[in-house]
Amino acid sequence: MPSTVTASTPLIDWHALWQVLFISAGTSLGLVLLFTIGVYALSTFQHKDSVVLYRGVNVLIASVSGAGILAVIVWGFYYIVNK
Amino acid sequence: MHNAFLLALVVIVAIGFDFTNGFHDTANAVAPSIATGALKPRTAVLLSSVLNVVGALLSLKVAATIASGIVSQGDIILPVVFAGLVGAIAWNVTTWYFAIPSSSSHALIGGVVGAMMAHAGTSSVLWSGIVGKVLAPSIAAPAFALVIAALATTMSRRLTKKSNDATKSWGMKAGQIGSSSLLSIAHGTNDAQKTMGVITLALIANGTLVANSSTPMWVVLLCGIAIGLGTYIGGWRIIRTMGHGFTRLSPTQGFASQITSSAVILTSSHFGMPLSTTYVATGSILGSGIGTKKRSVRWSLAGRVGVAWLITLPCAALCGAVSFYAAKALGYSLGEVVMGVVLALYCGFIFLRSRRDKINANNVNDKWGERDEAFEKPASKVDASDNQLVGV
Repeated sequence: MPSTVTASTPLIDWHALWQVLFISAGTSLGLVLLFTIGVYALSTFQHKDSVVLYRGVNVLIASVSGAGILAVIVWGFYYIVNK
Repeated sequence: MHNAFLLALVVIVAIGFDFTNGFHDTANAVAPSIATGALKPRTAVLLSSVLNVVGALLSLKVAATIASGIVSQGDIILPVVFAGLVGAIAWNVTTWYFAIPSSSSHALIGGVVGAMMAHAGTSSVLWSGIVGKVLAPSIAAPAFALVIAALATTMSRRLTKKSNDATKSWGMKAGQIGSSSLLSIAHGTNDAQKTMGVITLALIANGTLVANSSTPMWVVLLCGIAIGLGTYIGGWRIIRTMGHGFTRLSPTQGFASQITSSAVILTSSHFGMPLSTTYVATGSILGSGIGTKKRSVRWSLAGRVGVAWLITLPCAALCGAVSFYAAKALGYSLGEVVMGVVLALYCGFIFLRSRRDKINANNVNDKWGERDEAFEKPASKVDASDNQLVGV
């Protein structure tokens, strides 16, 4: 007589919980890092005594970071609308 | 006619719940921005209010009803929905009076579960759903938010140690406006949809709509306006607790906590995991306090809020059950009218009591309290890298 094995659904979806932890940690830390780098670069750019090239690099970093943050926020709004 | 009357009462009370949900949860999105001065108090609640309405109108997909997977759907009747909403409003108003950031969603779940148990016994409650969908995420989500926000704050604080304070403050405040907007729109979408789901469920239970119908536009509009108005009224008491009670927020902390809240809420939402935006926002703010150089968090207040979280479900359930029994004893129609009047009187009483120590846009950023003087750092010892006193 064949025996059947039934898979029970776990009470708590630990897999999903871990996914939430890792993805939200990655997203948050990534965003804060990006933003912090942007702010730091902007701050450095404002030092008038810095060499022109150094100031140029900093303004570039600030712009790229700002664009990155803006893109993520736009994506967030897009996700909310379309989820 | 009888059912139409009951249905009208349910819709009115549901809209009332949506309104309380709005002012109870305003703090989730705007408290850090107001506390750090990124936005003026009135501007912050206006922005949040508009974005909550926009969020409510953005998606017309029928939200999963709040009772889905929590109670047996077949046993739901209109008086259960009514009593559940009464319980949730009573608990929301009570916690607002005590300035405790508790979950409106959990209050609603508790209210419906209590009313359902009073109506059909404990077997009508899906306990596995309560553990898996409510308890586990409500413990895990704020813990995740706390850890992530602490790491994010520490990282940001250390990286900007040598930056110009004014630029850092300006940059972080600008970031806070974006993250606050994202949180507001996410809140409008999630929480207004819960009430839309409850009203749709009531319409289906009454036979006004057929099963699996989409939410009517008038329901969407009413819920959007109710949550927007509630948000604009501004739950200043809770905004004060979240913005100044747990820790003294700097723009760096505010930005880190708001980005963390947004990420945790949106990620959980993506995985279909329902959670309380209030618990996540509170966890993030506590985490941002831990991330400061002095680990400055008022743990006594956090403990009191933790106790309130523990008793939210049972207390709202008790309110829901009492409301159901009372309505049943008086006959559902008369009973619901009486319970509606009792609820209105209770809300009026709480509102009048709250006028004794009124908190509004003018004093929401006042110093937290004399007895917490020891918590504050002497001005002479402020470390600019900690950014503790910037923008507050």
